[in-house]
Amino acid sequence: MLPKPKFKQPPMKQAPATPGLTGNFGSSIPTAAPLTGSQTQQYSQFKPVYEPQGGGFGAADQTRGAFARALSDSQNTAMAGDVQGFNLENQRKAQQARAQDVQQQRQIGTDRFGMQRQTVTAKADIANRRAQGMADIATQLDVAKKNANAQALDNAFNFTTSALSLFNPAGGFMQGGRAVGGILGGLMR
Amino acid sequence: MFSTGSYTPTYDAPIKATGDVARRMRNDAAGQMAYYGDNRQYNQGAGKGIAAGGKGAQFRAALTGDIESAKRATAANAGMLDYLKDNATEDLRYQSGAADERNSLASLLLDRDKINTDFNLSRQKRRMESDLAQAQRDASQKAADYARSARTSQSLLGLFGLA
Repeated sequence: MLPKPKFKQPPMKQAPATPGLTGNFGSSIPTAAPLTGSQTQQYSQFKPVYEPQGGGFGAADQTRGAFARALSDSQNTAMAGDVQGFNLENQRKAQQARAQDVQQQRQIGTDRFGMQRQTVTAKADIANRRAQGMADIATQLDVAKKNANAQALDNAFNFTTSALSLFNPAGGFMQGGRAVGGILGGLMR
Repeated sequence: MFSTGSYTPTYDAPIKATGDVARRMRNDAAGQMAYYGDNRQYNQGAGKGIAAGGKGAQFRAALTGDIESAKRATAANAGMLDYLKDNATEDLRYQSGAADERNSLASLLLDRDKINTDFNLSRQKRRMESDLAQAQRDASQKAADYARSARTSQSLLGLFGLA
């Protein structure tokens, strides 16, 4: 009996789990209005440059006071408009920058996800190629072993029939076999 | 490939003005507020006396003085508001720049990981092919052993004329 094939099959690594695209993207760019604090209030509001004194010019004094209030009111409005315009422009730019930031993160995340998927696929291909190749080789070896065993069995059968024919010179059921060519058979003929 | 600190962001903090200059300018403008207003009124010859100007002239001079004063008040606050605006703009510029840098670094890290991944996959593939080739050689050797063993037994029989 031929020895069992001690064919060493390298271990096949388990393919890693397929990663998922999480999609947890965020940006640190704020889109809130920047000028809203107490400092902004302080520097965008004016007091009238003249307050009526309650005497002196009388009606003219009141008129001057009204004129001063009108001045401060128009200044306040102009400043508020200026601050608001700045805030809006800043928020528009911040919104655009934030969108670009998140979009870049999405792009990079998707590219990385694709790389991970390709890695998993490539590793699976390698493992599959290895497993199939090893299976092919094991099959070839098994076939070779069975052929050799069959040959050995055939030889043993021939040996047995030839040996039996030595003691049966008259022929018989083995007359047509290999017995006629045997050494002892020739001597006895 | 590179040292550990090669991918560290370089944006560290927004660069802002301290506000000292803006506050000084505001104080200066506020100081000029009273000066320009009063000076304008005195130059108009306010007060009683011959050819010193009537009340109407005095009133107009007062209004003109108020306007001059209000101009300086506006200049005083506008400087400080500009300072706040500059800082807010710098905040946004810094955040955008830092975000761009972070994303660029992430892209570089992705490139680096791709290079390493391709390298490792190529190595694994070569290892697999090498293992398969070695296994094929071993199997061929073993199959030849089987065949030789069978032929040996056949030859022994043939030696005695039994095969």
